[in-house]
Amino acid sequence: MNLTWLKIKWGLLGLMTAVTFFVWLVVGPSSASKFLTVTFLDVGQGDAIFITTPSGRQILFDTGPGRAVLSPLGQAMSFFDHSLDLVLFSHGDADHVGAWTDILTRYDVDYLLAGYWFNAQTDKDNNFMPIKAGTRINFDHDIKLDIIGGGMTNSKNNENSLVARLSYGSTTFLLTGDSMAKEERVEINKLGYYLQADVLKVAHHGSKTSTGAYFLNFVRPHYAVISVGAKNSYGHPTAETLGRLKNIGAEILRTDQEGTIVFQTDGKNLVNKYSN
Amino acid sequence: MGIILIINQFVSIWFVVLVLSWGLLGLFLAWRYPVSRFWLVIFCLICFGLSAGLWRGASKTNWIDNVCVGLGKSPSGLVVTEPVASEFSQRLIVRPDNQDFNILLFVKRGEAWSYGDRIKFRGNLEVPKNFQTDTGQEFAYKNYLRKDDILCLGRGGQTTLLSSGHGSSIKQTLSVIKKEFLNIINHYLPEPQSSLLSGILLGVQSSLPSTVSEDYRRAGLTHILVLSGQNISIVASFLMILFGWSGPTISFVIVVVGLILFTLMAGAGASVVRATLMGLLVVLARATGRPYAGGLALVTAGALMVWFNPRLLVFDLGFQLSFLATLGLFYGTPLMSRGLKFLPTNFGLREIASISAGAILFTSPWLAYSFGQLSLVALPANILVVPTVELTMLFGFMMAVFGLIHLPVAWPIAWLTDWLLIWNLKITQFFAHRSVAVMPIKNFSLVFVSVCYLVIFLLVIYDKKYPTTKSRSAEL
Repeated sequence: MNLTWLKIKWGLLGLMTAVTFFVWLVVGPSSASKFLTVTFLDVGQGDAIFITTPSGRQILFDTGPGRAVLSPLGQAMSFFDHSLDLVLFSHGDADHVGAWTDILTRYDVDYLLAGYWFNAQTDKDNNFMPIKAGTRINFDHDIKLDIIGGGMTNSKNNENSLVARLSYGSTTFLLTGDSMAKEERVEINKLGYYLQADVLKVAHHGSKTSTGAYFLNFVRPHYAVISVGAKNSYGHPTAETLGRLKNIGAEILRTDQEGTIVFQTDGKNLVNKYSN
Repeated sequence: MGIILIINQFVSIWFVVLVLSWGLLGLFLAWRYPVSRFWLVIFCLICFGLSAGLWRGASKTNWIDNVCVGLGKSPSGLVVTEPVASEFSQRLIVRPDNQDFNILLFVKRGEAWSYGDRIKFRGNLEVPKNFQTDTGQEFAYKNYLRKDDILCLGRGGQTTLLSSGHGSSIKQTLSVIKKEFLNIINHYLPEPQSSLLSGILLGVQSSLPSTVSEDYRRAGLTHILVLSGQNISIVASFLMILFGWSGPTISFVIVVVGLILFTLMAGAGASVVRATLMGLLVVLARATGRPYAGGLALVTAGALMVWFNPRLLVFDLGFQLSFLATLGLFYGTPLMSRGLKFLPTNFGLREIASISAGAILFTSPWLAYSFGQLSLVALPANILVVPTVELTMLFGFMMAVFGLIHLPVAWPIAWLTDWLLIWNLKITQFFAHRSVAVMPIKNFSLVFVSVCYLVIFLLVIYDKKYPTTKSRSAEL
């Protein structure tokens, strides 16, 4: 009798310890950090950028071409976390939006943002909001995403690709989608040295039709990230673009060489962490 | 005569000579050493299976190359199997109206197709072409597809839905259940763990990244990625434990019915049927404690499958390897168990090692011939990974069931499952990336293969005749 009671007591204690441990496991990772984390996911030939703010907001900018995004995204998020606050699409090419059905079936997405072209692609029950140049999204105190180019027509092609400027305190990221040289000139005329950025996501995977020397003079990036698949059939990134980036003195980071590339910033200092 | 119709000429002659010489050897031994009529039975089964298969093959359409053009520009047909998604596309096997062969369509990922849909395809259909693999070997893609009666490929083009719900209602219901299970797995687990579990648990053809699948091949663990006899025997054991209280007859019926439903759910493809047969055999052999009777049953099952689809024997590497591995389980394990006596019996270590070694011994020559390379780390990798598969299946299944009724307890189970899957992936990755992981073997011809199997065969015979220990049946 005594022995049975003792067993039950110990059993209960064990169970409660396990439950407590598990609850901490779930709650632990989602506690706030003071960093804004920008992760360029290694998705092969395509773009997918995952942004986490200090208060835990999560934004996915482009989804990459297919299921390849799910592994690095799963690693970047907590095991128990299956929701995204925002999913943004720069434009409609498959290497940027190809995995959106995979993302929507696996994650609860609060809002979908893209140019008007996306209207035709989707049924009305997911919360789609059209955006274009001039939109500002406040993620957190002092963290904002400004759409500075693209979205002006119904086209889903490169020339209408959204360009976003993400800033936290004094650090800035320029996320260019697949925008072209022509769009870069428009942005220079409108914004000038406001384009200056610490990290430039090199447009169109380093294609020679983007990232002009003139544009780079205004951006003056410290890091240039090229999201590109190894041995891709397009020949990205081109020698011309790499040369222009070297001339401006940018440190070039490529997802086909480094794998997933992670930046962390507290609003003043910027740290690049190699994940592989 | 009939042989030429179904298999390409070069392989056929060598292959038939090989099989026949085996059968003759068996007959000779049975006649010379009258230990049992076992080999005579094997010989009869092989002959029966092959000849019946050939007869069936000969009665099929005499396929010609312009059959694809003959279908016209926009054929309509029925989706006859569950669509298979890969990294960037999904594959539909379609039976065109009024035809007795299938076409394979590559459609976009994300499009929702299901078994039983009637569809119309607009685009070019072409004859499949053989191609070179990374290791420089020619892959007989054309013949590989023929085992599923696929004669034409459609890439690109436009596919439209005409109507749906034309499949058998049992298969359709099971395919809905399977989809629901997949959704839950995908909901709870991140990639690539979810893809791995889908393969282990439901036999979903892997949508793992190609680098990961390559790791599994290098580590000699490909059988983990698909529904194999091992998995089926685990399912059978679970069913037996669950329903054991109902008496031997009823529980046996439940196990058989359960396995049939499971097979149908997993798509009832050749690979799954084969796995089910092999799994059932392993269970039977364990239950009766007569591993050698299992061998006979295995050959019967193999002969039956070849009778239904003779192309399996020649073109389905999965069938060949699975057959050999199970054969190795029955005949190689006792042999290896004596060789591995130095291993401690704690945690079933020696048993696991000898089962793995037995299967590896029997599959290695054929692997060397088919892939031109041999995994040298297969034994340690199998010993570390295989024992966890049972637990992974159990937890994965519990996770899916609790997830189905939205119980939060699914989360801690998912978390444990995740760690088991990570172990599986990491061990594989570790062994696959050793510099000695694989040994390339060039020009490993069928003659070498025959010699290897002859040696193995003689070893088994010798071992059976002069056993060094008494307790043989206890080792399985």
